Amino acid sequence: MSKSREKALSLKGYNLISFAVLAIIVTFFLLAPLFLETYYLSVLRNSLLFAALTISWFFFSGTTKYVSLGSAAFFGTGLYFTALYLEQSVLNKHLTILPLPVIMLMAGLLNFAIAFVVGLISLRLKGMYFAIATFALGEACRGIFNYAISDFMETHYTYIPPFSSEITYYTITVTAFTIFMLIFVLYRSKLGLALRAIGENEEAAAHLGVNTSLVKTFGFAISAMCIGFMGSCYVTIFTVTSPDIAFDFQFSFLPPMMAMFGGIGSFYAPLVGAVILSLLREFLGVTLVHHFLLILGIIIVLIAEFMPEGVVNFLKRWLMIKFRIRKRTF
Amino acid sequence: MGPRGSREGRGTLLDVIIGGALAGALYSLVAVGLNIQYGITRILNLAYGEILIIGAYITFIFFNFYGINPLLTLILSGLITFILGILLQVAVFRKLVHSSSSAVELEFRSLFACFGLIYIIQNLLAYIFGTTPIGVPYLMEGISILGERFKTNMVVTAVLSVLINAVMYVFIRFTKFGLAMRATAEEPLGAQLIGIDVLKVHLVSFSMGCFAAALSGSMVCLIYSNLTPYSGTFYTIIALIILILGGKGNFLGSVAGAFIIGCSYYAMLRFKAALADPVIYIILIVVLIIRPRGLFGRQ
Repeated sequence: MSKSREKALSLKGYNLISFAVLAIIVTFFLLAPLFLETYYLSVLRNSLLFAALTISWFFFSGTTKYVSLGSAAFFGTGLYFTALYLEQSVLNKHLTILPLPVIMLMAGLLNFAIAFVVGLISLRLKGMYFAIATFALGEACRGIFNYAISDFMETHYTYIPPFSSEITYYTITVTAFTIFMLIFVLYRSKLGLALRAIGENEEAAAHLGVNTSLVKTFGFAISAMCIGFMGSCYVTIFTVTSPDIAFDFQFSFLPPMMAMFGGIGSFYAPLVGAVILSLLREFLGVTLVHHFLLILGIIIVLIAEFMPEGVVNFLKRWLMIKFRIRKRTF
Repeated sequence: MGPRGSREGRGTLLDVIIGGALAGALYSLVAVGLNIQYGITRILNLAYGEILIIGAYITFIFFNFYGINPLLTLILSGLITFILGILLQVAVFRKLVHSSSSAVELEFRSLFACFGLIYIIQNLLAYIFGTTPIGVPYLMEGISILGERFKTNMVVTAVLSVLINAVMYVFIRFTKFGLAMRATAEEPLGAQLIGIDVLKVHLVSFSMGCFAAALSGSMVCLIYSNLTPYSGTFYTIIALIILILGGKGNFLGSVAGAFIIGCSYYAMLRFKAALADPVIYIILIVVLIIRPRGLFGRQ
């Protein structure tokens, strides 16, 4: 088994084009603040945020086909833990001021622990029941945080020390790329294989010796941890936040929507789908406010009808037929 | 939301039970529609709350612009959304069912299509009518039941909901078409084999769900005057929670679940309004953990 794992992680099997494209993308994102205005930086930042959320969602739900609609619960927990820590470490003498990455790590681990417990309990549910339970979890978290914050803090808002736009950009970019790499490695590891096997046929996977409940719980917890990291670094764009912002249910709906837009068959498709959809949201959403969401809705219904494999996979297949490419290039 | 603080302490239990039953009766109509849709067509319609809001807007338009009695607009809103349901089923969901190779794929695709429908309906309504909260204040004066006072419109809507539920129950339980619907819910392939027109059954049950949604939306619109194009999600969640409490495809279970949710929601609104929403979600999560098939579910 270790041999196949080595093969999965080794650099063989990837052609030079993939590496060149990857290098160009990474360099572009790292050097972007030198030549782009603040607005475009925020666009890039948001698309990376949603790409990371989507790929984290995909890592568990896309592979196992257990649709989770509770990303907002973990996103919000990560965001709110960080916001509260930052606020309280300034106000309260007993709490030491820590650098942001350490707080982010704490937020991620907290999410891992919460999701592990939640997963142990809720992953017995099948199909739509799991989706509904996780959706309820997100909404319940929002209500409880709203109640707790306004009752104990005697204010509805949490104040965060401001960060400069470069720090914000680099925090989100570096975290997002770390998550891409982490999930890429995990997706090709034994755990990822087991998760995909569960998605194909859970009983068969169990018969082949996969400890399905443990694997599912781990996958769910890792996915939640990555979502928590993103929530935690998203805090840097605010100076003030409230539970309604942190647990907004768009963070539950958008990752699955973006993943299904791209297609959930491979690692790249949800990523590309998320980037396309969030760029569309950023550019068209500003110019055509109501029309845009209306058009987006129509597009989504049409894709559900006519391209069940997702836009990216559809285009890939179309291009392969068009140019008669037989081998997979990436 | 009833007046708070004035009568707490005297007869609170009775107040909660009657108020909860009145709210629960309306919620049961909300839930029964979704239950029919999910139980028979096997499509989880997440855009259900949005159809409910369409019903509310139809009542609002006919009352505000044409001065029609709000209770009469129920007929119109039911009819219009029944037709809308037929259109939606034919244009969107029928093809999904036919071109999906497995149940999992159907779930994914219908979820995705429902996200799209939510966007379309919300933004279409916002585009046409704006985002100002709407409501039809009707029969706002109080009425006394066993010494506790309630708004008359709550009582009227509860009675109407029970009536509509009863009619639908009789239709499903005692007519030939209702038998075909139940057979399709149990075993779609077998139903097709013995000559039931499954397409027609799916069409009618989906539209019946929309019909129930719109009627309850019209009635919600009489009680609360704070509906916007975006407030449908709350009713979707209420319907989903009751669906799970009652068990999929269990008509009477939905009614019992609606009573539980109605009572707990009404009681929480009285004592700690900020915790009203979390409490019903927590009830849902606890029920899912203890009895994944629902409190009254079979199997």
